[in-house]
Amino acid sequence: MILSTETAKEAIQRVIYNKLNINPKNVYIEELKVYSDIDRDKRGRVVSLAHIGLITSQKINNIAATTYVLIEYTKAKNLAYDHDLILKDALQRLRDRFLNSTIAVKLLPNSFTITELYQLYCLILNKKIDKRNFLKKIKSLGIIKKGTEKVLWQKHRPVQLFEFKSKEIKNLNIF
Amino acid sequence: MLLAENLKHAIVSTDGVIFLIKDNKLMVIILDVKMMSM
Repeated sequence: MILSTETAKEAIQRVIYNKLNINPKNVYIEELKVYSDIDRDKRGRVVSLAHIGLITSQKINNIAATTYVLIEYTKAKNLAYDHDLILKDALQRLRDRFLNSTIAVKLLPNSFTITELYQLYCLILNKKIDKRNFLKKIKSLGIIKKGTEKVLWQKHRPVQLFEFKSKEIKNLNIF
Repeated sequence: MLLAENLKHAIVSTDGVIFLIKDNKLMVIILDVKMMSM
């Protein structure tokens, strides 16, 4: 519940810190939607301001293991209240944002291979994208640059690492 | 004013879905969710 002394975002940050032991600064948070169906919570009248958060897996090493569920999204079903709907909406929002912004920067490590970026898009959009067209488009948008760490060795072959030019999310049409 | 009067008994809550990539899978950390069955 949101305390009378805090904003919705501060409430989210408090919960992230208290329940996950994660520095909220490491989580990108974005408002999703208001859920206000009258009977959404049988215990009483509860309006919920839902949010989505994105974090890179490197930042959750010391995560508290008692107050959360970490699960592949396809297996998160039959949740309490209207949370199936919230999850569905959150996933749709994530997909929309992937198509129309550089939000991928919040899910990738600082340096990544172009294949990792491509695979992330296939994973989020849940479909196989034409790799050649994808890479052509990404490069034409000028949103990534060669990394300061130059290469990652994979199977004895050097692979170029890339970085987003900006850590801030830029709204633009990816597809 | 009428709207505010009607809303004053509602509790305002936050729900959250946190996404992350692990082992090439899209994972979710779900806070404040009681898993009823999986």
